[in-house]
Amino acid sequence: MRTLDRRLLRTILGAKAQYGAVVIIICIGLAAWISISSTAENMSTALAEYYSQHQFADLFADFTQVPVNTIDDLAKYKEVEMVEARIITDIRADVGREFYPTLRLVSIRHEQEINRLYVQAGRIPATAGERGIALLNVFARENNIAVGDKIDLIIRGELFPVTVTALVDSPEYIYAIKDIKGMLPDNLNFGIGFINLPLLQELMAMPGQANNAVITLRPGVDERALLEEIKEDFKGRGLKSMITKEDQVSHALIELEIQQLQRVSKAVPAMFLGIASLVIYMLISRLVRADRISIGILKATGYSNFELMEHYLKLALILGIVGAIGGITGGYILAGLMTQLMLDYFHLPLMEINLYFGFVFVGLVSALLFCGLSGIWAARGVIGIAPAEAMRPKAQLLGKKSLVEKWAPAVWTRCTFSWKLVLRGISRNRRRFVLATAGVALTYALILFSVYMFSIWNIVVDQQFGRLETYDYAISFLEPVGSDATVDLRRQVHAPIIEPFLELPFELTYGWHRQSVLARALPRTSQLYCFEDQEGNLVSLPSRGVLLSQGLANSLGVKRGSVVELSSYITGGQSYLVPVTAVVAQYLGSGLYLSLKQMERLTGQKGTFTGVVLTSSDDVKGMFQNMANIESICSRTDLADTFSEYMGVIITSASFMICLGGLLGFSILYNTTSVSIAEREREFSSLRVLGYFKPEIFRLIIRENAIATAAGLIIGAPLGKGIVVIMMNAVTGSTPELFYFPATIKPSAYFIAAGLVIGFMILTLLAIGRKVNRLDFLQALSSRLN
Amino acid sequence: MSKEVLLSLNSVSKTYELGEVKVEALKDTSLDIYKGELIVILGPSGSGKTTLLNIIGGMDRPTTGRVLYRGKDITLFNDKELTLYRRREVGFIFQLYNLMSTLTARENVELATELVENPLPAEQVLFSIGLKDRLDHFPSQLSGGEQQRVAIARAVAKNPGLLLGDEPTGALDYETGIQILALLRKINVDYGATVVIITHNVAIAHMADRVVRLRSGEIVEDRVNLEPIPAERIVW
Ligand SMILES: Nc1ncnc2c1ncn2[C@@H]1O[C@H](COP(=O)(O)OP(=O)(O)O)[C@@H](O)[C@H]1O
Ligand SMILES: [Mg+2]
Repeated sequence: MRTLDRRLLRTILGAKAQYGAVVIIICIGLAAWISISSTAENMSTALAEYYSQHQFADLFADFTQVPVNTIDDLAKYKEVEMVEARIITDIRADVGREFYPTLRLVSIRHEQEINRLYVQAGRIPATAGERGIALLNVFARENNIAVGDKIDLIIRGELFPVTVTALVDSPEYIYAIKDIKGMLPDNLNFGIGFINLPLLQELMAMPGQANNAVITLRPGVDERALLEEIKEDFKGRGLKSMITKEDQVSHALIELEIQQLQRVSKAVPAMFLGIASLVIYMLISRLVRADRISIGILKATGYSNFELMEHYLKLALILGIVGAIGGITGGYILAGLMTQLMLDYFHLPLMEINLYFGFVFVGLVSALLFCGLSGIWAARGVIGIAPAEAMRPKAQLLGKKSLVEKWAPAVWTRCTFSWKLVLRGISRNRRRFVLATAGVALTYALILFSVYMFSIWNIVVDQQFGRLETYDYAISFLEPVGSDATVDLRRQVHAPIIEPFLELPFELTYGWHRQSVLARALPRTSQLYCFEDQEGNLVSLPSRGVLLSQGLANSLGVKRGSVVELSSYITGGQSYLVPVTAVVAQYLGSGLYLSLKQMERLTGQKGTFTGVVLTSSDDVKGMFQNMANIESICSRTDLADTFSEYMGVIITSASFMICLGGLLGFSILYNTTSVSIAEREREFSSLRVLGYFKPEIFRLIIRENAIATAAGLIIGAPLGKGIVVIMMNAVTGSTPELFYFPATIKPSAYFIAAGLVIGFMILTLLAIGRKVNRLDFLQALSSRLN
Repeated sequence: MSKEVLLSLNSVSKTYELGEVKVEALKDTSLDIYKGELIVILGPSGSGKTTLLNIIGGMDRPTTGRVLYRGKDITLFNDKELTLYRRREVGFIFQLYNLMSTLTARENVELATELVENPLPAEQVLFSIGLKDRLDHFPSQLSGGEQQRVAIARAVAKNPGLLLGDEPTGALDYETGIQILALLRKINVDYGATVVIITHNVAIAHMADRVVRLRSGEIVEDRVNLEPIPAERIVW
C-alpha cells in the first residue's frame, strides 16, 4: 500500500462515526433501491407466470341475459382462441354470521380452461351429484369457512344451501373488489364463489343463458382493434361492456401497485444518495481545508494536483463502495422479505425471489457516480492550494465588510458590538454559513415531508368524508327502486336527510381517451354532496353538463369547458355530447357527477334510483343489512376505516424511510454545526485570551446559528414543498383515478416541522456547549498545524 | 571547487497584488547558485527571502525574469513540468517541520521516496541522521529537533540536486539548531547536494560557503566566505 493510501485509511479510522454515518445513508439508499425494485420485478414475473399458467383471459365482456349461443358466436372471430360463456351475479350469503356478506357467484366449467382456479384446499365441485361451491381462499379465511362447510345462498329471498368443496385463488380476483369504486378489498364482506355453470343457471333461473364472457386471443392479436370490432358487431345483441385485461379491475390495481413500487424505488434512493453526496461534499471539502498545509507540503515535495485529488476522491469512492456493498447485501435480504410480504398480500401462490444483476449494477454505478462526483467537486479545492502555502503560517482571513454593512448601513450602525462580531464572522466565512444554512434547509424539508406524510391520511379522510361527502350511510340496491322507497325507508329509520341517487355505467370518450365510468346522478339541491373546484370554490351541479373528479379529468386530459362524449348500453349505444362544467376535487376514488335531470335526458330514466345516502344516528347497517334488495350498506366510518387500514406496504415503508430521513436531517445539522465549531477552536481561543467569558462565546455561536437557522427555514419551506410534490407524484402519479393526495401542506405542519428543527438545533447547541466549556484555549493556540 | 552553475536567476522580480495595493517582494534580482555549495541567504523579516526560495524551488512563479536550472528556464514550465521539477530536483525543509501527523517517521520519509526513481533508502537516511530508534514513532511522540530531522530526512531521501531550507532552525532551541545545521553541512558533503539555507540569524552565515544578503527585495551583498567554520562552532 502506498504511504498516501495508508494516511487515507488512518484518516477514515480516525473519524469512524462521521464516515460511518455517510456509509449508512448510502446503505439505506441502495437497500431501498435493490429491495423495492427487485420486489416490483419479482411481482411482475410472479404475476406473468401465474397468468400464463392459469390462462388469464385477454378480453372480458358483460352481457345482459343472453342465450349462451350468442356468446359462443364470439368464437367465430379468427383472432379468438377460446370463449367461455359465464354467469356472474352478486348475491348475499348466510355464512353463519349475523351479517350477510355479498358473494359474487362466478360460473365455472368443469373442464376449466380460462382463468383456471388455483386450488389451495379441497377439490373443484363435481358437475353432478352435489351442490358444491369453491370459495375464494381469503374470503373463506376471513369468515372461518372450511372445506366441507355448508353455506346458504340467498337468491330472490330464498335460501339455497351449498357445500364448500374447495378453497381457491383466481387470477381474475387476486385483488377481490366489487368494482373500481370499491378500491380496497374487504375480504370479510365481499367474496367470490365459483359454481358449475349448469347449477348456477338453475339457481338463477337462467336456463341456457349467460351474462358474461371471457375470451383468450391468439398470439399477436391487436386486442384493442378486435375489441372495437366486436363492440360494433354485437351492438343490439346484449353486449353491455367489454374491456381488455389491462382494464380488468384486479389486474389494473396490481399493475398500479407495481408501478408505484417502481416509482418509489427510484425516488427514495435518489433522495438518499443525493443527501449522501451532499454530506460527502461537506466532509471532504472540510478535510481539504484542514489539510491545507499538508497539501502544500505534498505539492512542494512533488505530488501533482491529480495525485492529490485522487487521494480525496478515493475517500469518496471508498465510502461509496462500502455503502454499496452493505446496501446491496441488505437490499437482497430485504428484497426476499418484501417480495414475500407482497406476494402474501396479494395471495399470489407462486413464489420466486431473484436478485437481478441489472439492479445491482445500476445501484453500484449510481452510488459511485453520486459519491465520485461530490468527491471530485470537493477535491477541486486541492487545485487552489499553492505549494508555497506550506512556507507560510496560516493565512489571515481577509476582513471583509459584511453584507449588512454594505447594504443596510442603518441597521449596521444600530447593531451592538457583539452582533457586529457575529455578522462579520458570517461574512468572513460565507461558505461555512451557506453550509450551515443548507443543513438546516435540508433538515427542515425532510422533517416537513415526514410531518406531511403523517398528516396526509387525516387530511384525505377529513376532506373527503368530512366536507365533500357528509352522509352517514350509503345504501346501494340490487334492483333499482322507485321514489316510494325513500318514503319507506323514512318510516323505518330516523333519518333527517335522505337523498336518492341513480348510478349507471357509462363509457366516457374524450379525444383519444376512453374510459368506463360510473356516473352518479344526484338531486341538484343535494345537501350530502358538496363539490368544489381545485381552487376551493363551491360548485353546484349544473342543470346541463357534468362534473368530473380531478383524477379522472387528469387521466383523460379533460379541462373545465371540455365537451365529452357519453354512451352506454342503457342509451342503446347512442352517444351524447355533454359539457364538463367543472373539474372538482375528490381525494379518494374518482367519478362523474350529474343532476338527476341531466341523467334523465341521457337515459330516459325517471323516478328510479339505485341507492340512497342518508344521515342518521341509528344503526342503519344493523337494521337493513340483511334486507333482500340491498346490495351493500357503507357507513362513513367504515369507509374511513378501510382506507386508513389500507395505506399498506408502500406508505408504511415510505414513512419508515422518511423517519430515517428526519434522523438523517438531525445528523446533518449536528455535523455542520459541530464542524463549524471545531474549525474555529483557535478563533474562540483567541477570544478567550482577549478576555471573553465562555457564555459570551457561546452566545456568539448561538446567534450565528440562529441566523443560519432562520435562513435555513426560509429556504427549507419551498424545498420541503418541492419534495412533497415530487414524492406525491411518484406515489400517486400513476393512479389518478384512485387517489388524489393534495400536495398542500397545512400551516400547522410548517410550524411543527420548524419546532422540531429548532429543537434539534437546541440539542446540537447543548452538545456543543459542552465542547466550548471544555475548550482549553492555551492548548488550542499552541497546537501545531497538521 | 568547480564553479558549475546549477541555477541562475536573471532579473527576477515578484509583485504581490492585494486589491489595489502592490507589494514588490523581489526587485530585479539576479543570482547564480553553484553546484555543491552551501549558501546562506540572510535578511530581516519581510525582506523577500521566502519569496526568493519559493521561486528557486518551483513553488511560485516570478512576475518577470528568468530562472534557469541546468540551463532550462523553469519559468516556462507548465504545471506538470514544474511538479516534476519539484519532485526530482528539489528537497524542502520548512520552519514548522510540517510532518503528517498520522504517519510514522519512516512513513513520512517514504511519502517522498515513493515519488522518485532513485531515492536513498528511507531507513538508511533516518539512521544516518541519528533517528534509528525512532523509525516507527508518530510525530507527536518526537521532540521538535527530532521532527525537524525527519523533515530533513524527507527532503534528503529523494536525493535532490537542490536542498532548500526556510528558517530550518527557526523553531528550535540553540543546541538542537546547531545539530541541524551540522547535519545540513554533512549532507552537503556526503551526498554532494547543493544547500540553500534562509535565515534572519546572522551567526549562521559563518558556516556558509557563500552569503547573500537581502533587504527590501534587493540583494545588497553577495560574498564568498573563504573560511567557513563548522556548525558546531557557531554561537549566538
Ligand atoms: N502571498 C502573499 N501575498 C501578498 N503579499 C505577500 C505574500 N507573500 C509575501 N508577501 C509580502 O512580500 C514581502 C516579502 O515576504 P517574504 O518573502 O515572506 O519575506 P521573508 O521571508 O523575508 O520574511 C512581505 O512584505 C510580505 O508581506
Ligand atoms: Mg520567510
